[in-house]
Amino acid sequence: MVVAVRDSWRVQDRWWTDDPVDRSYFDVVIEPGRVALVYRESSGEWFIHG
Amino acid sequence: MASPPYVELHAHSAFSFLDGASLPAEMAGRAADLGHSALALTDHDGLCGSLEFAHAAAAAGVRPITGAEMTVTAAPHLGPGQAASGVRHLTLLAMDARGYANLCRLITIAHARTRDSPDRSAADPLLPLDALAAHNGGIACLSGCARHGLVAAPLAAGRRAEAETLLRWLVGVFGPQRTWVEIQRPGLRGDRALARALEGLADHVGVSVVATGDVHAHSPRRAFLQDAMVAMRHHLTLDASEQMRRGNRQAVLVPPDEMARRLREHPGAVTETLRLAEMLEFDLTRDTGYRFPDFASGHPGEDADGALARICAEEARRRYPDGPRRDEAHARLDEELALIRYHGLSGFFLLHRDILEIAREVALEVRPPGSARRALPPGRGRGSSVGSIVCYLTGLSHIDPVESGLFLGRFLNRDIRSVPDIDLDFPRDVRARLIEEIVRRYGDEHAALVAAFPTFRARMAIREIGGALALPPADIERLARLSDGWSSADAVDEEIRRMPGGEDRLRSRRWRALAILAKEAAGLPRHLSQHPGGMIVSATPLVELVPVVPAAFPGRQICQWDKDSCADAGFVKIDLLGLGMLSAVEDCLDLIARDHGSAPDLSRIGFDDPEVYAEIQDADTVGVFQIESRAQMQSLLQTRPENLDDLTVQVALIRPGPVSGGAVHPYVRHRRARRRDPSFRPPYDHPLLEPVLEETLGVVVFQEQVLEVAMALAGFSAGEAEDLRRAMSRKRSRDAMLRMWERFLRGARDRGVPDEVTRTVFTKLIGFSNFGFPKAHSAAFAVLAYQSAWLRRHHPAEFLAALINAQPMGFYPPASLVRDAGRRGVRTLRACIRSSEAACTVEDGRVRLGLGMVRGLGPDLAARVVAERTTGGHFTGVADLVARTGMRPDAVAWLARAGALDSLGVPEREILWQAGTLARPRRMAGGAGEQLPLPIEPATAPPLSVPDRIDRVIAEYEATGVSTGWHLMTLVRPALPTGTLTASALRETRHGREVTVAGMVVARQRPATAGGIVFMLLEDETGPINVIVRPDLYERHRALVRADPLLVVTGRLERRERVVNVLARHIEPARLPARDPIPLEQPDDARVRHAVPAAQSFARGRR
Repeated sequence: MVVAVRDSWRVQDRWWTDDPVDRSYFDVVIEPGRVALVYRESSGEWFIHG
Repeated sequence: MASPPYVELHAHSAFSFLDGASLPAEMAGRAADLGHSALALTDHDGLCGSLEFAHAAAAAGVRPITGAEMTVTAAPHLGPGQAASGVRHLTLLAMDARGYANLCRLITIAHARTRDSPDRSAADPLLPLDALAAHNGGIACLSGCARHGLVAAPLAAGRRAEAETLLRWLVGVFGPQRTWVEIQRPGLRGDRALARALEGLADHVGVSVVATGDVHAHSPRRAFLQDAMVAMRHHLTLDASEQMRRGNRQAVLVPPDEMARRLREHPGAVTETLRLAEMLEFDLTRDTGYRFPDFASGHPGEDADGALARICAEEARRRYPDGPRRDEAHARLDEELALIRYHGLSGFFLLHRDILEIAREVALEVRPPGSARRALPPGRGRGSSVGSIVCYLTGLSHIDPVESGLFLGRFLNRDIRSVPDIDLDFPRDVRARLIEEIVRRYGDEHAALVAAFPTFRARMAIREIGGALALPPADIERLARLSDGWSSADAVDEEIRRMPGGEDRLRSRRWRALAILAKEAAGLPRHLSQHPGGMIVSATPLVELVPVVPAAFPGRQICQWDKDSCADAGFVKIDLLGLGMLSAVEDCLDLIARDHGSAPDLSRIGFDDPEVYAEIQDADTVGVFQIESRAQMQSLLQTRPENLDDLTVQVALIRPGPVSGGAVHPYVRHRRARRRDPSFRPPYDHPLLEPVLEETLGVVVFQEQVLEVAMALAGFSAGEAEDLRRAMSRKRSRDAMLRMWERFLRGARDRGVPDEVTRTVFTKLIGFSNFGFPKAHSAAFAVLAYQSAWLRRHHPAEFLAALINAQPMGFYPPASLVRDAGRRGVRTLRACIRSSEAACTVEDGRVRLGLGMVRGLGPDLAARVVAERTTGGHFTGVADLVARTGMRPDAVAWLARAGALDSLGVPEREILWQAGTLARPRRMAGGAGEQLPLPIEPATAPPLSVPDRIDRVIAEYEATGVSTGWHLMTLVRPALPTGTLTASALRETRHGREVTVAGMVVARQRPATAGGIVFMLLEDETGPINVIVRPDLYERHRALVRADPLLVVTGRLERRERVVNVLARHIEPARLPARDPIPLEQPDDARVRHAVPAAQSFARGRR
């Protein structure tokens, strides 16, 4: 459960390659007070970065 | 509609070169579409696009705000030399006229040291922060962008104390009321924390925060281009430039609501955009405060009106001492002076007179004493000013309007809205010095050249974007060479498709990106450059009206506006044009005077020599100013000009405007009809157009006719017509054009013009666009065209020599000029070490090539050789030549190949041998050990084979670009297919016959208006051959058509009127005859092709 968003940003890059990147990153605080970096692909899928 | 919640105060256009990715007009149009009420343009260190933007925005209903993002030193008290400590950005916005003037000064200061390096290569502009102390009045200062901002950068790096010191320094300069902390949320990691830290700092120091978007593109598509531009700017690939690029595509113009949403954590900073925008009252579209330079009269109490009247009266007494013309002249003068006073233009005429006076002094300095040139006026006016007696009396025109019965007409009347045009043409050398001298006299704060902004073209776009995309360099180079270098960049995908495996390539992302980005980049300005001759002189300091930057050329400076912006600002642009033909005419007169003791007075030769018109009507015009090109020649055969008025139309007719406006064919038809029946009246699209288009037989030929048609058909006022002209000249201004069309249609309906007629006429006007000559311009060019035709007719040898000396100029390479003169009986002699001067001269009616034409010599060494010969006598041999001139062996070799050493009586092979053995050691470091110029005994040459005649011809082409003997095609002919016709045989061949011809390519052209057809001009030893290549054939033989200098063409002979063309069906390279046994140094095919003089190749000019 996300308690707070500490920061968010957008990376759009490598569009000229076969692996274009378009991600919305969120630096979030999750429930027991831990932080996590998650991102959403332009496809809508969510991933945890670390 | 509720007013938008946010105003964008920080946006870049493509005039932030290689950073902003959209035109100012695109920014303005998009802002209007998205519901912005106002928009600031803040390009890097410049206002190049600001006036264009201001007009476009105002027209679209968006209030324009003027500003710039300045590159500044990272701290006060740092000189430009200390840029190593980093550069920062500040956003400056003009609040009022004073602020605008200061902004212009600051930008000028930032650029002042950008050309300090010895090679004058451009350095980045940099404003010492301290300059703000002296020039900050009326400016709102924002602390800079998130990345490089003066305050944000140290804060982001954790140096809060430094950030605070700098912010306090800004507050000390601008005061708390004109200082804002700028916050941005570019969607990058950490931008939230930085924005909060900036808010905290602003609060602590006691200044307001304001939000900005740092926009770099008007649409999301251009954000890709923006990425590529950053890579290009840093000469890196996209992959390698991650640190410099923005990291995402958020820096794009979005609706104000969307910006407010992105910045919802900073509501105060959003509201502040509205408050600050209210404070920025300055409107660049209003009067910029330009004034003509004050006239410093030597007579106390005399104003400009009085001074002009006095000067004219004095001169009139001298030129019209008595007789019937005296009264007429005085009456005309009074009438003109009254008009000039009425429009407040006395200062304008005095300014031009001053400039001509300066030119006179410069000309005396430039032209050698004793030359025929010294008696000539320093330059000549062109255009409708020749009808003015004031211009005549002040020296701006050389034609007596009373004697010639010229009317003032369009030049000056009660209704003119803008200042009249006075263009002054000068020989190149006079012009070059004059520009420096004008800046020196008026002061570098008051005079500058007009800017021009070259745009991305296909070849440049392919190379630069292809490099950024890291595509294989060999492929990029091949693609670039295939493309038309000067065509617009938007056809790159076509070019890729044509490459081997092109379709496959277009399936890869990188190649597809190249095609798309090149298309997006087409038409965007690439950098600031110099307009060919426009100059602005201002009484109020020019540097407070527009920033001024140093030019690449020493001693010159350029203002940041192009000719459109200068015109919009109401600046008087003085056109000082350097014309190669004027240089040639002067040189020609000098050569005639040398030969005959005196030169003809061109102002007295009249304009009615039937022999001259006979040649013009036969298109015998190689070398004649303006009417020598392939297209002009074909037109001349049909229009057959008979007088100066016809020539005036002719000069303007073969231009992109009339051609794409569909004027050429009707004009030709109507002229033919008029020739048959002098009472023939051309048809008009509507009777209202008759008075306007009568002189051009019913078609639009001259630029001002566009305005006149709009006024006659649609009832436009002079001002509205001017707006139409402006809308047509602007790039991508579809909206503006649409508004014009609606107004045009309404106006025409009011006058009872049927809609379909209105549509036809409007379409023609659009086709014409702005790409035509004003009549004034054509008239002056027609005079020079006639004079050059006259000199060519009556002094052909001197004319040829002068044309070669004035190279590069004109349509034909010297080889073709020499050949053409040969056909007209003028012999050309090889350069000769005994007889040649540095430039070409005339000897007993024959042209002697100058030593300067020989490759490896150039004008300087050639002049040295001639000077040494004059003082020390003739050279006795190669050893003597080398000893006395210090000439290097390669130069000796080129002289030998050019045949210039024939008079030494030594076989060429032996000379080449000797030159090698005489090579002098290089000068030792430290200056010691320089060899004394003692003659060295040359070694004896071993027996060498005698070069054959073919080799000699090739060598001459290689060494001088010219053959004085055989034509290259004479060498090729034995190997041509049997039955190949010469150009002269072609003239006797009937229409429709299948023919084979061959020639050296003189020109290849693919006009945008011709639907892909390529026109080629070939030349053989008997004359020129016109070839038409249809698009399908062109596609099959692209490489041949584009690049092979020697071609065999088979096709159908087309004879229309007097125009003869070969409609090509088959094209192949012409091969050299094989010789048996093959001598050792047989010129191979590649060498021969290399020796062919450069042709006019598509729109790239001669190369």
